[in-house]
Amino acid sequence: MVKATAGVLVTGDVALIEFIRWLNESQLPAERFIINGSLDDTHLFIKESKVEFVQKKVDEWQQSLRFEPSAREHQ
Amino acid sequence: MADGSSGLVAFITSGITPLQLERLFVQPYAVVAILRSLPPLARHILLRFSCTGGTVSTATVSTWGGSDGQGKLAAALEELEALRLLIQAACKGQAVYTIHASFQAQLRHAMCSGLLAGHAATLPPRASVPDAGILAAYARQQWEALLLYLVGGEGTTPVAPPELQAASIDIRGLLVAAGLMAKDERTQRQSITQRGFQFLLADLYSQLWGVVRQYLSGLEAQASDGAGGGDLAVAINFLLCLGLQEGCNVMCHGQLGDAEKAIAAHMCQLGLLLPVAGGGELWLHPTRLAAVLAGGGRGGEAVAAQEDGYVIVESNFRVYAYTTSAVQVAVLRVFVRCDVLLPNLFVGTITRDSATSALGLGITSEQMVAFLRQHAHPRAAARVPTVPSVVADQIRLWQQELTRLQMHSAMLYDKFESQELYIGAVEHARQLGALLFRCDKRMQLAVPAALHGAMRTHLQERKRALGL
Repeated sequence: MVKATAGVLVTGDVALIEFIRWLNESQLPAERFIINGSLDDTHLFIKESKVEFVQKKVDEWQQSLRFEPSAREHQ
Repeated sequence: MADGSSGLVAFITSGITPLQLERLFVQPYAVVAILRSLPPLARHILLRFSCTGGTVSTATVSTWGGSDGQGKLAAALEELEALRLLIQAACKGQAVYTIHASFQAQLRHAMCSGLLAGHAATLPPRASVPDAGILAAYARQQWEALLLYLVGGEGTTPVAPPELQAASIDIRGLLVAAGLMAKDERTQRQSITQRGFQFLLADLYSQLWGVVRQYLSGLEAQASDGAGGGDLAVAINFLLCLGLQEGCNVMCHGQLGDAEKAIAAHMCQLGLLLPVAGGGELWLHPTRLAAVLAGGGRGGEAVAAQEDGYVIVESNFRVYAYTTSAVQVAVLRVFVRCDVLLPNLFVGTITRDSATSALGLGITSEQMVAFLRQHAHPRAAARVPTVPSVVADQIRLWQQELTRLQMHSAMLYDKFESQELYIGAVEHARQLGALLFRCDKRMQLAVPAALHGAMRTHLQERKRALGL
């Protein structure tokens, strides 16, 4: 019988997917969210319950990579 | 040759009901505009028809095309029938084509006497003709009042000049109906919407045409309610008249019909016409806005850009805008962080925050760059590229960053029994337009969760068919 799994398909570039995989590895085995058997360079299948968590961590990671020169004090 | 009233003509041929279209066939300018908008073969057929008695048998018409042109001839005839210009009927046992009678009459009149004959041969006294500066100032004042209301949600909307003694358009209602503003039920205040922001960043022709189109739709709605059916046809004719006349553009208010007077008052309110008293009569002078609307955005834009450019963008992401207008400053502040605001100068920087907040409002990077390019200061416009490529590329990259991570709620299908079952499932998913992910090596397939039911039934049928 064909096996059907429900979840969330995540698409992104290679670096982003690698980051999400690292995030998965650094979690406790009980908290891991990648559903195995679906890995590809640019796609991942993750549990629906962890979607906001992954989004938040990715946003934090992108934020940490940015540098903004501090705005001069005007008004 | 005002082939640029294409927005208006396209509206005529596809945007209004057939009944309204027939009422247009008595208006001379509409007839000529429709004729010019048709493809060459259809135009040729109409001109031939106009020289006949009005009815030509189908057999004769089919001889007009050569043996390899029959397909094109049939297509052109179909198009004319769809526009109700030609009607097929049976007359004395023969199939005949008849051209619309009033259309034919107007076409003959236009061909024999020309368009200008219908309108004022007199001109206003030279002393009362306003100079270009006054016309431009009036147009800018009226149009900016509208835009300022759109941005701020308060303040006065432009009003019709009192000497015309006609009812004004409800500008607030018009903006809400066009989807540019939304009315908050609780506070009864209107504020700008996402579409409104995109409207602000669009070029002048798109803005003008958007407002005029909404105005025409409003007239059409009034017409279908039964209050004044001829108004829409008269309005369209009037607008085309502004566009198609090449010389003597000035109109005498006293010589217009009643419906035309009302429409002229509305156009004055929007800033397209300026009423000036001269020699005992009231004369209507078209402003730059009327030229842009008629010019269809191509010719009008080039002129507009030369005079009105005020933005300089530097490769260090600084933006300098020489402007005194509150509207222009407000539009720039949508995606530029304001650093300094002087009475005649706006200094700002395009930062990641300002750009991403604008992207979050629904404005695309293309719109932002196009806006900067269109309103470039003449000194900056001379340089190529007008907007430095670093700035344009960076805005595009910021937009791409927002869509870097994409998530879809999906079902993953794994462990297919056979290759054929997998291929069949992939094909079915593609037909449904639902293929999210496939891996041929491991035979895995993902489709959106909503289509799980359809895929399951398909798989069960296929398995039964293949005997698995």
